[in-house]
Amino acid sequence: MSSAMSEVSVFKPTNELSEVFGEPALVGLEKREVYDGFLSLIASAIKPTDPIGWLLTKDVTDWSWEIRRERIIKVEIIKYYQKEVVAELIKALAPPGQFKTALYRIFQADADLTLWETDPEARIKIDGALAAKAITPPLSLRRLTCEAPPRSTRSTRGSPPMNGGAIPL
Amino acid sequence: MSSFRQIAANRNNAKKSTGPRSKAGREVSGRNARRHGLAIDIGSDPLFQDDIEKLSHALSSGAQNVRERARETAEAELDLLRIRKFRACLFETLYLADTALPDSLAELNESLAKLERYERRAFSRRKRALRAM
Repeated sequence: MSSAMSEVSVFKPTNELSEVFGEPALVGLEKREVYDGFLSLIASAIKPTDPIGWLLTKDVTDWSWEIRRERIIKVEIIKYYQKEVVAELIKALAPPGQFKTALYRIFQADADLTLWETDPEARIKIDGALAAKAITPPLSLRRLTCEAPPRSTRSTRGSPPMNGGAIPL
Repeated sequence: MSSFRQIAANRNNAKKSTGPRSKAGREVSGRNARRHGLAIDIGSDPLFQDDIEKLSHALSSGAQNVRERARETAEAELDLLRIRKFRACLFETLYLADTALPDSLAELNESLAKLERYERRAFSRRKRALRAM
């Protein structure tokens, strides 16, 4: 991306327009130089020749930037709530016995949850253990995580191949 | 289509029912625009006068016949920029701040929806002004 940026560095608004645009509306760890590079890349495609062209280029850049930001936030929110649901489900993996159950919930459940979140192999095992106990996440969560819901023979017979029952994100 | 008589009657009725009547009510509604400042006409805000002048000059390239439309475009554009900055502030305070709670997502969502109304209006103003230029 850096070589592409150097090629298009000529696409900058005039100083007068830059002053009017001011500081871009950035959030958190978003960086000014990355934004400027992004604006240059979009400008190199649009090739604005007058101030009106620059206003429209700025619109496209800001919208694309905001869309990117909101997609990241959407993923974070999904992961947050996904973790909450799994944290509740995983308690069912506690071994039988009141004392052992309490120990598992206090000391082991969080570690298993972290494993489920970070280690794909551990995730398959935990999901398998939950499925063996006939515990499946709610349908809404399965869709969010792009996992196929269990299909009944009746509903799948003759139906076109589906995208694993997942909603394209 | 409404007749002239009907239009006149509507206007008369609207005068009777628009806005709060009591002094306290008027004070409350008078503060509405100051809650986030986005309802204040940007053209009358001294903070933006320089930028409006600069942008309208750049847009009209000094031509007098489009000066008024260029100013309208500049005001709408600066309104859009102001709204984008306000949106960034909302994300900063209601999502990214350490004090942000999961509950504040609902507040963020509600605020973003309100902000969208202001943005739509500003876009329409700019589109009209640009078409007329």
